[in-house]
Amino acid sequence: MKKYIIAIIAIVVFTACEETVQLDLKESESVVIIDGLVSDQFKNQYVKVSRSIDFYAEGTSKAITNATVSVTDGATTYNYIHNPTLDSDNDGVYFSTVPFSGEVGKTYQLTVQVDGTNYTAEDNLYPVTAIDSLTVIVNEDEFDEPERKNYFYEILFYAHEPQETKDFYLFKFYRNDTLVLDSPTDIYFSNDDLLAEEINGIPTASFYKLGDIGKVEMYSISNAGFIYYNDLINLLQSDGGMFGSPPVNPRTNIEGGALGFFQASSVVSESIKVEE
Amino acid sequence: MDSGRQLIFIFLLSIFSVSILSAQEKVTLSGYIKNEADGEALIGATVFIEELGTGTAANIYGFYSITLPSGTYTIQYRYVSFSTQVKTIELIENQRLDVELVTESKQLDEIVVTSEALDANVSDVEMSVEKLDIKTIEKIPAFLGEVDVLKSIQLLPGVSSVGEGSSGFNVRGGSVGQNLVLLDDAPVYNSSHLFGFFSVFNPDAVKDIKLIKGGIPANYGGRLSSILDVRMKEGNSKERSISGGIGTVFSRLAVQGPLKKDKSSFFVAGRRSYIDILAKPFTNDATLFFYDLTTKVNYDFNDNNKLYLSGYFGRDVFRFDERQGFDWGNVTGTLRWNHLFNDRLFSNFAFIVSSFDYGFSFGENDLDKFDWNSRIVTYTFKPYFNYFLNTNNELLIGGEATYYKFRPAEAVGVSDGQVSDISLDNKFALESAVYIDNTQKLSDKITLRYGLRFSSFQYMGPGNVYEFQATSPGERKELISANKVNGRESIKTYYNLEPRASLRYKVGNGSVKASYTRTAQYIHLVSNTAAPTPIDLWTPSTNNVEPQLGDQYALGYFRNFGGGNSFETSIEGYYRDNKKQVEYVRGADIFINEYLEGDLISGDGRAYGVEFSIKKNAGNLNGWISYTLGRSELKTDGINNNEWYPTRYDQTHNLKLFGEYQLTKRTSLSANFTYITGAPITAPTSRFTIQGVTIPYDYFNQRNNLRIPATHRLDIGLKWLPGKPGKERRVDDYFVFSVYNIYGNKNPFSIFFSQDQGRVVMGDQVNTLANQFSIIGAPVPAISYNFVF
Repeated sequence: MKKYIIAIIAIVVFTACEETVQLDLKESESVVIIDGLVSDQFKNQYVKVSRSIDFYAEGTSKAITNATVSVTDGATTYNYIHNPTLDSDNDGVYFSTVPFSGEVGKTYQLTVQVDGTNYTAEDNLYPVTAIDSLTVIVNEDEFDEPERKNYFYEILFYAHEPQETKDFYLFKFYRNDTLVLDSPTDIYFSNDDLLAEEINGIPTASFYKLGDIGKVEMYSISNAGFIYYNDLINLLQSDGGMFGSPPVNPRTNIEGGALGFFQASSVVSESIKVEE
Repeated sequence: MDSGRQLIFIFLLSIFSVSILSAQEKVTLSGYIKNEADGEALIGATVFIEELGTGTAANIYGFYSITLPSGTYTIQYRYVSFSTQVKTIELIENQRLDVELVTESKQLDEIVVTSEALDANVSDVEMSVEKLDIKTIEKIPAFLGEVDVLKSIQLLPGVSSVGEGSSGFNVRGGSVGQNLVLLDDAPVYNSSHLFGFFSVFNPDAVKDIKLIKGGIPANYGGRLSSILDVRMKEGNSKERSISGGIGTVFSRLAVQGPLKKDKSSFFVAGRRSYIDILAKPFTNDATLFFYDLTTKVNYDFNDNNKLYLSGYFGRDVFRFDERQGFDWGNVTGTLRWNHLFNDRLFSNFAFIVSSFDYGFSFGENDLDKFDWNSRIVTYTFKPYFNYFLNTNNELLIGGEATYYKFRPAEAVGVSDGQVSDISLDNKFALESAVYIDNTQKLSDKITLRYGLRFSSFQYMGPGNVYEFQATSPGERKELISANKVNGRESIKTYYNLEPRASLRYKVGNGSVKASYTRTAQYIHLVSNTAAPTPIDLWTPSTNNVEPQLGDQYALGYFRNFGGGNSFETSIEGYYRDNKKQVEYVRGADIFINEYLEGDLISGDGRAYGVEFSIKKNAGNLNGWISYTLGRSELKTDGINNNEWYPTRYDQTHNLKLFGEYQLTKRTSLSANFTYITGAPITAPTSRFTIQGVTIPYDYFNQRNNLRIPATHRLDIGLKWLPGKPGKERRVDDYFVFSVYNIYGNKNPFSIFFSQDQGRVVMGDQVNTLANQFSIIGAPVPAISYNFVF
């Protein structure tokens, strides 16, 4: 926001400019990156394992395909297997050999072994409040958007926020089953500090045209998850620390030297079709 | 404490010994030194007794006093760019002599020539002090042609800022919040207009500017790095005058004149920017402007009593539309009473109010909105006694008491008509100090200035007292308990003894100076960004946040060359050791955070460097070269692997050149060149993809590990006085044409990292980019017109 303000002054008064520069960055070693989720939906749960690469390196992030992955809730241990369907999109993704659903109140522990090194993490699965309903409204400001003709419907979201507990939420919005974002670097998450008991029509991301199906997913996350997403968004929307805080590496709940996050969540979802 | 007691003892001893010496038959000559043209007091004007080869200087109110054996003396009254006045006086009894000096430029039409050798820089005990007079500031080519006090100060050795468009200034590797900015004795908590492009000081209203970078006398305190003491004009007590200017960004108008001739005068100066009006066609409802008003009235009751009332009101307003936007501003008020107890004891009592506040408003209607206000208000009382003991000793004794009220946040969020109040409790504190300071001439060669300041800070109720427990270093501290304190009781008190000492030793035609300064800072400017912004927050020391302590050592050699001291040169080295400098935990949240204290940690700081300066004061070509080689570092537990790391304002090389050439009697050309090493930033080494987003990260987990490219820029200006030679104009006026950044260098303002496309599927190639943002990427021409009549 502050940068935006400066940019406005800059544009109005004189010539500001932004350009890509080549920096002389140090070379580094790669680190193991783990991204996993246990949800309360009954399915084959996933854990992604990959390696980081140099900032200016050519190529893609490197998938790790020879890891040993398991998750336990203390009583039952679920083993994971690398990409059982051999789908190339799922390179580096491990799925539980049996489908299962996470349960509210339980703590899930992840163990990943890569080349003899063990990485562990745990997260609590918290309940999530129900989505009461979704509604569609017409946003007249969007009539004149030339690039997105017909996309002037907006989906509003209603729920009850339990005021007696400290809750953290992660949101995902889909248009016809495709994830939508207002800006490519957005992540939608919130604590409940500014949420009143009645959540009455908070606008969701993006705009829709007639006939689209909009879907909202709401995840419960732990305080550690909130910190993690907060760190991610700070990095994604960083201006180098000129007006925002200086970039710091995202904190993680993974022990053993890997980065990323292992998340346990309750998920609720609601869909609506955009009609006249 | 023992060493402190010892110091006090030595101090008293030296004062008593001089009292004994002064027991012979002596008389005092005292009075005010003023400008003949407008009656303004001439701060620091010197009084030189030819027969004794010694003298004194007028204090900040233009008062001087010198005690001599009775006799007949030839006395010179001198001031830079004023004709020296010589008086022969038979001094038998105490005598009051007010003197008015005539400016030389009156006869010489703007060409400033000093007839007498003024070697204050060599002969004064003061070191690490920078002074700029408004005449010089007016000649420096300025951004958009608007003369600015703070921008000009940045052309001097040891002073810089982190970039174009950042508020405040950095002195000798100190942070912006470590500078004490005083406007007529009132602290100014934010010195910027328009996000730092201009400062709050209206050059029309400024009489004197002094920046103390080291060897800080005991009458100043409360900040580690520097003191910027700005004094306003009192107002022309002889005749009414109107001055002003029309520029590209704002217009200025100042009116001054006598209310009662030679008894009372007033001064009113205002500015208003009009970018918003010019930009109207492009910005719809958005608006951006600032204004300020500087006023002063004074009244001379009689020879021994004067009253001054001064005020400053300034505001910046930025709006996206009618309902949304933000604004900020300072208000200061100072009431001062100068009282002469006798010819040798001058006193001043100041009552000061100062406030800085900012506010945000977001939300398109009353059912969904967010409003946030924050404010700091202080009330200060400062008694000050200046005792001119004898020719060799000048004492300052005084005190200071400031009552602080911090209102970190008055914030309300409304979501669909439901109001949640997330305001934070106010915080209160009392800062007080007493000091004694003596300037003592030991011999022709040696002058000493030494003093002691005893300061205390009370963090007091009503308020919340939090207790935290450190988890792991560099991480947020965990809250253990929170207790409410209702009365005005003290929650935590700190005391500090701050010894100060300076020495001047004449060697040949030059002098060697050394100084030691200990300063304590009890309030902290919390800002987790590199570029200070108007929404940075002042917060007190508490039971969790300790005061910052600094020790500065400086050593310098000063030497003048050429006839009439036309070349002034100096070299100074400094080393400052800071304790308990405020730092932030990883991911610190400094906005509307009730548990802010849990996010603040303290570290050690050090800053050191060498400053070189060459000034040419006379002739058709004059100007200066200043160069600083410096370093500024921090070491904080849990950050940067516990190793020293550069601060965001660590700038290795800082080179400034300013030159002015008098082409004809009516035209002068000026230019200034700036080169500053790029500021360090925290840069990533690697990247990874998670949930479809590519994240840059630093494998080594360092802070401020990479430098952005250096900043350099050349500005030129042309000052032209219209009219024909030999013909007197009714109006004193001039035009200034300037081009800022003439070769259009794109100076980096920030560098940030991004991916070169949106979300990616794992396996797709995605690259990360470093982007450089420059605020000014082209030459900026400007014209302004200034007048006095």
